[in-house]
Amino acid sequence: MRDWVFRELKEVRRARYLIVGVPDAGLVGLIAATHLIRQVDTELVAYVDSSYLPPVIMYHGGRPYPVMRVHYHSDGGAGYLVLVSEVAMSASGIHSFAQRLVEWGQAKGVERIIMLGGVPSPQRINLEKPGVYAAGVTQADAEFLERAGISIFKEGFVSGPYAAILKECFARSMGGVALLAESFLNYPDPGAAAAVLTALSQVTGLKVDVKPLMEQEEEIRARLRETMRRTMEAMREAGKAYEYAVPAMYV
Amino acid sequence: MEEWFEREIRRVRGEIRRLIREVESLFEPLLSAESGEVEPLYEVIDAGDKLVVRVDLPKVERESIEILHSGDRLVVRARMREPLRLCDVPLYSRCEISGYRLELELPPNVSLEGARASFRSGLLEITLPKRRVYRVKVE
Repeated sequence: MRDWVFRELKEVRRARYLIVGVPDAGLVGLIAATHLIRQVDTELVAYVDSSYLPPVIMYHGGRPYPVMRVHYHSDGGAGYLVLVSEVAMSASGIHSFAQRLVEWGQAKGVERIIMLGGVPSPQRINLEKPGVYAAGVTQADAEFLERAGISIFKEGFVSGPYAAILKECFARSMGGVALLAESFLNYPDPGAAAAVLTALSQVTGLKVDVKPLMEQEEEIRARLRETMRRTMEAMREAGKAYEYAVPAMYV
Repeated sequence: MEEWFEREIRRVRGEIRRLIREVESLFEPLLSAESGEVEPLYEVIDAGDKLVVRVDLPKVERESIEILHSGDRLVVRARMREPLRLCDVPLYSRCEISGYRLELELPPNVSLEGARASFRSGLLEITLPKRRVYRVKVE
């Protein structure tokens, strides 16, 4: 068996974008991708299985609901695949996940992988509207971001699953962009999730109403307390603390 | 030899504390669901001359926060403005989460005299000054 298996529940149509939201700093990716799936008309098309995921199965509406799922949204033909994971993956599985994800995305005709996440900011408490930075891979990514007026992440480290996906996109010259909002590291941050979704709308044109997310902010924080705690354990292993470091080449 | 021995004892004690914390954290959701109080997310930051304890308290009003200090323990309790109901999750279905309780062991060099607390956007921040260190000159 391969390290990561994408099990398709129905025929997965070709899509221009593959949006990824996995638990990370402030659970920004998880909150944003979950809200996106609820807000736009999506259907569950595939799920991902691996021995690098904890042995858990989730139930929703009385039926098994995989913890790492792929939903499809057509949006007038552009096609969006949205991968969301409820659980953090083990650090040792990150590289093989990134390889398999990019390979699968390419097979589905994806032009660009867009990752939604947070970049921890010690000043987050003082920011009413967190800024969003984008880390791209190709020249086309830089132009794509520039057209939307998103600040490009120029110096520093990106770590964890998104770093591995960006590296894999780089190796294959595939479009890859991480939209990272200034966020809390260890508290669920719906405000930062709203900021990345707004940036996603800017870059792709996909309309997402973030008002409900802000209205339920405290409820989401209270409900995701335990998920945040478990994610922190995985983040410690995945070198997340590197994002606070200044690369030696700038010393 | 003595120094090595003390260092090794400190390391082993640290490791035992870490293991106890790990085991406790595994069962924490089960225990706290019964009492209706859960441990909030928190962090302790050593900021040089002070210790900062930051606690995430969503669904809480400032007036319901209690900060108590007894011996070397700091206790933070807060009631939610309305209980959190997680009826669909069997573990929590027969109980409501009505508040938070955090108990921390403070290091001996911090003082509650001059301590300050602020609450903004659901985040409680307690700043505890460290006791001054006096240097005694050896004649």
